[in-house]
Amino acid sequence: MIAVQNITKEFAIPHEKTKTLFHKLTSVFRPAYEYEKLFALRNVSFHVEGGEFVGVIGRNGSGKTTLLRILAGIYYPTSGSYTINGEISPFLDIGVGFQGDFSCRDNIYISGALLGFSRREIDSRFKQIMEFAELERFADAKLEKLSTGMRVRLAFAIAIISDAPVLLVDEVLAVGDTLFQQKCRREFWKFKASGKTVLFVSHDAATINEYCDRALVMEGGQVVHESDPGQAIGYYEKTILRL
Amino acid sequence: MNLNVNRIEIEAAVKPAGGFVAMPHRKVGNLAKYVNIVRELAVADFRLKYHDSALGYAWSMLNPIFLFIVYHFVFSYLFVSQVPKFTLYLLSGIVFWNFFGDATLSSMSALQSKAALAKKIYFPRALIIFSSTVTAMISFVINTILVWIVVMIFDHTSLHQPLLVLPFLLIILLATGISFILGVAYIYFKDILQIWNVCLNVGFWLTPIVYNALTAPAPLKTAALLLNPVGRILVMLRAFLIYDDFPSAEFMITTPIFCLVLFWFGYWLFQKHEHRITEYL
Repeated sequence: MIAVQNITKEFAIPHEKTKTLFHKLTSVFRPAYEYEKLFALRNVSFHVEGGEFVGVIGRNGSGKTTLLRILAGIYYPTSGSYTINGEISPFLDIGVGFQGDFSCRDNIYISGALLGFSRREIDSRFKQIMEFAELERFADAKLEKLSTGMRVRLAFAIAIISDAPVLLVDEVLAVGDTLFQQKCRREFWKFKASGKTVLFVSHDAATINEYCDRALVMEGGQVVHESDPGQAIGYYEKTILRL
Repeated sequence: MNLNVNRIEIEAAVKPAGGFVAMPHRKVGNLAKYVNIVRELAVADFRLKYHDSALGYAWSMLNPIFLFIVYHFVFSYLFVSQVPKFTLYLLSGIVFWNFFGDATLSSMSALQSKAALAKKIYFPRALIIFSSTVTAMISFVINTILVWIVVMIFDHTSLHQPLLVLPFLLIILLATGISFILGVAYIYFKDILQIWNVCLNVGFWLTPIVYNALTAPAPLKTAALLLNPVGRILVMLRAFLIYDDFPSAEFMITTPIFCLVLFWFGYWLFQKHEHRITEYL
C-alpha cells in the first residue's frame, strides 16, 4: 500500500552557480545567490492499494521521476508525507545506476548488497542474473565497455531478483531490443500475478494500457487526472498532448 | 570556515521540510545489510584503485616506503635528528600519517563517485564514508603489522606493543570523523578537496612525524600535541611500540575523548546534511 499526502517538492534553479569557495568569497560584492523556485511537485496526493498496478503518465518534466525518487527515499519532500507498507525495490533510471569503472561482477554484488542480499545469496543467484541478461561472457568486463543495451539488461536482471512487495518502476521497457522486451514483459506479468504493488512510470501509452489497473496523469508537478488506464491515456493525449 | 554562511544561503534556497516527514520504510536495525554494503563498496574500490597498475597493491606500500627513505636520508645525513631510535620513529609516523591523509582525501572523491549510485536507491549515505575509510584501512592494517614485525626483528619485543591497537583504533575513528566533516563541506563547495590537500601538507609539519614534539619549540609543541589529535595518537603509538613507555594518565584519557568528540560531531553533521548529497552532487 502506498499513501501519498500533499507532497510538494521545491528545487532551486540557480542562475549563477557558486560552487567554489572563491566564488562564495567574491560574491560578497555581488548580489547574493540568485535562484528561481521550481515546483517539481505541487500538493500531490494519491493512494495505491496493496496488489494494485498503477501507472503514472506525463510529459518529460512533469514530476514523475521526482515523485518516484521521493517515494524511494532519495529526495526529501519539501512538505507533505507518505506511507509505504512493505519493503520497496526501486527500478529507477535503469542502466545508469551502476559504476562504470567496476566490472559486471562487482556491480552485481554492490547492487545486490544495496537491495539487501548477502554475498552468499548473490552467489547463488549470480548465474541466473548473467543468464537473464545474456552476458555470461562479460562477467569481468568493465561496465563502461558494454553497450547501453547490455547495461540495461544487466540492471533489469539484477532488479528482478529482489522479492520486495512494492516496486517503483521508471521507464524500464523503453529500452532493450524486442526479444529482451518480451522477456521483461513476462517478468512484469509475474509481478502482477504474485500480487506485488507497483507504481509504474512511463510516457508510453501502450505499456500503461497493458498492465495497469489504474493510471494517474501528471502535468506541471500535479496529478491532473486519475482513472482507468484507457480513459487516462485518452485524457493525456487530448488535453495535454493535444493530438 | 565559510561553511556556516554557505549553509544558511542554501537552506534559504531550498526550504527544508516544514515538519516531520514519515519515512516508514527505512529500517534502523539493518546492521547486517549495512555491513554488507560497506564491504562490497570497499572491496570493489580497493580492487579498482590498483587494478590497472603493473605493481598493483604494492603501490600502497611503496608510497610510504619511498617517503620514508627520503626523510630518513634527510634527517640522518643533512639535519641529523636527535630523536632516539629515529628510523622506527619515522617509519611508524609515516605509516599512520599516510593512512590519515589517504582516508580523509578519498572520502571526498568517494562521495563524488557514489553520487550516481545514491540517486538510484536509498541507503544511509554515511556508508559511503565508512566504505572509503575501510578501503584505506586495508593497506593500513597490513602496513601497521609490517612495522610491528620490523620493530620486533630489529629492535625489541615487549608486552607493551600489543597496546598499539589503541592508537590504531583511535586514528581510524579520527579519520572517519574528519571525513564526515570534509564530506559535508564537499557537498557545498568543491574547493575543499584542494584546501584539504594544502592542510595535509602543512599538517605533516605540525605533526611530530620527523621530529620529537617534546623537544620542539613551544608554539610548535602546543600545535603538535595539544591541538593536533594525530600528534597525540603518534605519541601514544611510539610510547607503546618503540619506547616501552606509558603516556601520562591524563594524556591517555583526553586523547580518546578528543577523537570520540570529533567523530561524533562529524557523524552528527553528516546526518544533518545527508539528504543534500543527491541534490547537490
